[in-house]
Amino acid sequence: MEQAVQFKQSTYLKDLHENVVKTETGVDAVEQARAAAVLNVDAWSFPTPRTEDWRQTSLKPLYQQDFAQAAIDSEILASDLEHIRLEEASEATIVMVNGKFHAGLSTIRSLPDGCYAGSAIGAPASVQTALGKQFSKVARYDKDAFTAFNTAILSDVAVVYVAKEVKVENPIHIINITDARTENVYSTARVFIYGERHSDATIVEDFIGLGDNSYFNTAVSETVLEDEAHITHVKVQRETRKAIHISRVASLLGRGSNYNSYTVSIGAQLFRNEPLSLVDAENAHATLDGLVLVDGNQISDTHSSLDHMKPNCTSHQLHKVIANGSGHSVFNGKIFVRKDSQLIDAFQENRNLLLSENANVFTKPQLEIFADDVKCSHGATIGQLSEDELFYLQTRGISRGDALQMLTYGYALEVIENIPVPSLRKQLSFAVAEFTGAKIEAQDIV
Amino acid sequence: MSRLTEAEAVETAASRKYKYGFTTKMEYEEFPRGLNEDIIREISRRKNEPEWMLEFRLKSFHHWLTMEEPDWPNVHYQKPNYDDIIYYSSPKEKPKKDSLDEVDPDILETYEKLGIPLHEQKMLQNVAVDAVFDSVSVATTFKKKLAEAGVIFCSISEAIQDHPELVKKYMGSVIPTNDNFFAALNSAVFSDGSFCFVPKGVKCPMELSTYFRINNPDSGQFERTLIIAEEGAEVSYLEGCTAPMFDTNQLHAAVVELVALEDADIKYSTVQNWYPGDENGVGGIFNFVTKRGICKGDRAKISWTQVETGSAVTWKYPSVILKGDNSVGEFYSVALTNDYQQADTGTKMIHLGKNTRSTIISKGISAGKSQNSYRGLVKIGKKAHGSRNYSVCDSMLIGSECGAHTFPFIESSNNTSSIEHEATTSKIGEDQIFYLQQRGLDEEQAISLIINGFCKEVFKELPLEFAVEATKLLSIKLEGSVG
Repeated sequence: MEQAVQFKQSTYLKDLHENVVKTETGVDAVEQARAAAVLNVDAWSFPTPRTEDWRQTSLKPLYQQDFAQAAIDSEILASDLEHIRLEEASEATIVMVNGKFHAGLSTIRSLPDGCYAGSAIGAPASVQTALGKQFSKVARYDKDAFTAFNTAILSDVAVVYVAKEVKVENPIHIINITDARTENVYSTARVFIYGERHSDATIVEDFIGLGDNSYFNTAVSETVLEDEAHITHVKVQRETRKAIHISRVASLLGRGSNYNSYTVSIGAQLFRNEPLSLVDAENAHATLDGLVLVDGNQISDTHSSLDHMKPNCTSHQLHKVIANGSGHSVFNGKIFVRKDSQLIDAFQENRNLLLSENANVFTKPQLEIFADDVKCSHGATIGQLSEDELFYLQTRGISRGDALQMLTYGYALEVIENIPVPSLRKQLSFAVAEFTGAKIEAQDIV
Repeated sequence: MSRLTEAEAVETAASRKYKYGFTTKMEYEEFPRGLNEDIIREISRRKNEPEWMLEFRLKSFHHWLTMEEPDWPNVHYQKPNYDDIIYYSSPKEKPKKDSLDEVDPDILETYEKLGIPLHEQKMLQNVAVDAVFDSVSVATTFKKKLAEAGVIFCSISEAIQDHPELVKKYMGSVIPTNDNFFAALNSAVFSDGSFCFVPKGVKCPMELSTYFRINNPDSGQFERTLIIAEEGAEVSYLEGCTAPMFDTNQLHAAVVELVALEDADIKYSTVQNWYPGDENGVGGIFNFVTKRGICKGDRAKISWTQVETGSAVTWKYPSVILKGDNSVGEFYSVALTNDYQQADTGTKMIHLGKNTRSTIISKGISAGKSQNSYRGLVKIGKKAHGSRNYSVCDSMLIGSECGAHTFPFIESSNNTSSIEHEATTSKIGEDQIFYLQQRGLDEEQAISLIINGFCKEVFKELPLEFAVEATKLLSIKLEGSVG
């Protein structure tokens, strides 16, 4: 019996893949990557709880359900997206429906010269060159079946290309929407961001779903920063509570570049995120912040890797978790400092707020250091709100319930307030307030 | 005592090589190599063990056969060939000794070289010693004085003969025979070790100590220690280890079980200085040890203190199961690795009872080409209301070819408990060395002083004599690693 289950798990992705109707993109780099991903389709092993990295997270919700391939021509109305549109990005919003670029819903106007936002299909030559150089080469997830699956079945790629010495003032919004209104579906989202030398841009990657059925979404995004590039990448995961969202957020940092990544996870039944930052040049800085809210029976799992491959770099990671209901949160933050990568300053902080009796938190901050002249530290806490702070608020006439909500809200805000897009901050603040039950007014939001 | 005098500095420089690397030529009573049921029956027969003990061993052996050697620790080594190990080795001796005068003078001389105050008249401090030579316990001192207080302190073989009801009740109760590969192996073939029983309300009148030494190049040492503190009892126990230099790897797979009942207090200190292999990583001891204590009753306390400086490969996680309400677990550790040594060590604190508290202070120092890992688990169960854990693990790197790693596993399922963990990794401060050199200390003295400061929190937990030994040991080990 045991063996039968194992068997079903191990070939799950391969079986799904066999029934995929593939849509060729016609983009050389993408098709080459696809061919490479399919090569070892037989070796796509499905992780089991025996795999160290999946010990705390069961993929049962995934392999116990059947999913059909999501239709490319799903009908989405502009009103379906109204609540998440960002006013700053009104001129640069890419909408991907079930993994395919949707020209009608996307609005791309007034980008500076040489910059591009849209589908990889039909992109200008400079973008094709960038794709040729780095597409699927940043997501270095060894033997990872989910990344390979994504590459093998993708039907389109959302691309943001920022030309040399250009600062894109307004954020670029990429909305990935999965339509699960008629049946259980699976789909992929693929994003490729390329910042040329001295470029500067902010990209918000958003995930939402429609309908009451379950859906399985693999998302892979790759960000390349050339020398001195500044890219801020925000990932907002607000899928429906029926979603299984497995994502990879990879970045490759050039000399003197600055990469700021913020991941906010609110939705999904099962969310697994694996940020991977390869700091492969000197003087670069990486920020990998995260906020995770889980309640009900949600599972959220972040396995991040920050790989310092060259000397003189800095990194900062703040990962905050609020676990309520029967929520289950897992965090594994790896920081590697390779041999001869001297003068690294790496800091990691993981804070977990455990609010209910049935919630669980697992955390494993992990430092692996092979160089001596470094400053690396991590801290992890699991705890509750401070009784002193609650008491203080109560002495000021605020009820205990309100005080709890207020403090929880404040706790979550530490990650959100760094996101450089005011309208997104506002949306997320409301989402956090809704989660914590705190009452906030629009004018209270900074 | 933390600063080395000039004379000591000269002395340590002279003894830069492993100081305890002499062998004592003795006649051995050896077994054939390899392991099978017959060997186990023979060990048991020779030790004149009761039937239940043989069954315990055979059960463990059958478990062991089904298990695989773990490969998850962050260490790399050539796996020992378990068919090429001599599982029982004892100095060829007359059966039983009533006083030290009967012990082979060669063995006594060895201990004197090691600096163990085995002769009672030579003893300056109040320490009762049980010395384990290869696999057999050779002498236990101060037996009479302990017996007056009601404390039973003897070798485990004697305990099996004289106090079978206690051994039967507690052996394997903390570390089940099938717990892990090495514990299962130990349970099958353990040769000797120490047994300590402190009855209700008794505070052990002196510190207890065991000294282990591996003398034979091909023998594995599998000792087994069992310490039981009844209600309100208190005991402090020290363990020291050395081995001579051989260019083969020797296996040391020990099991230590501690049981603390209500209000009991057990303090277990280790200074481990097994032979680490030479500067090219040839030879040395494989130290694969399972140590675990259980705070069975309310308000019990177990404290582990370890100074790990030896062994080619160390794999050791002294743990505490905090079952009783308000019980306390502590872990203080200094792990130093040099040359090609590898250490993967840490602790497990399992909180089950209410208001349980644990503290973890771990200091790792890596030099040369060594790899030093901290691996720990803090787990707060669903019913462990109001529990707290505080962990600090600091690593210091000396030289650019070594590595320091931390793998803390932190799990909580209780919303009234809190866990704090922090870890830092840094280099030995050049400014600090410079400052001390300005004050007239040479570089090695300066490093020794800084390292001692780094480890102070742990050393202060050690009994005095051990703290002195540990301090010296660290400075000897780090000789020539900076420059």
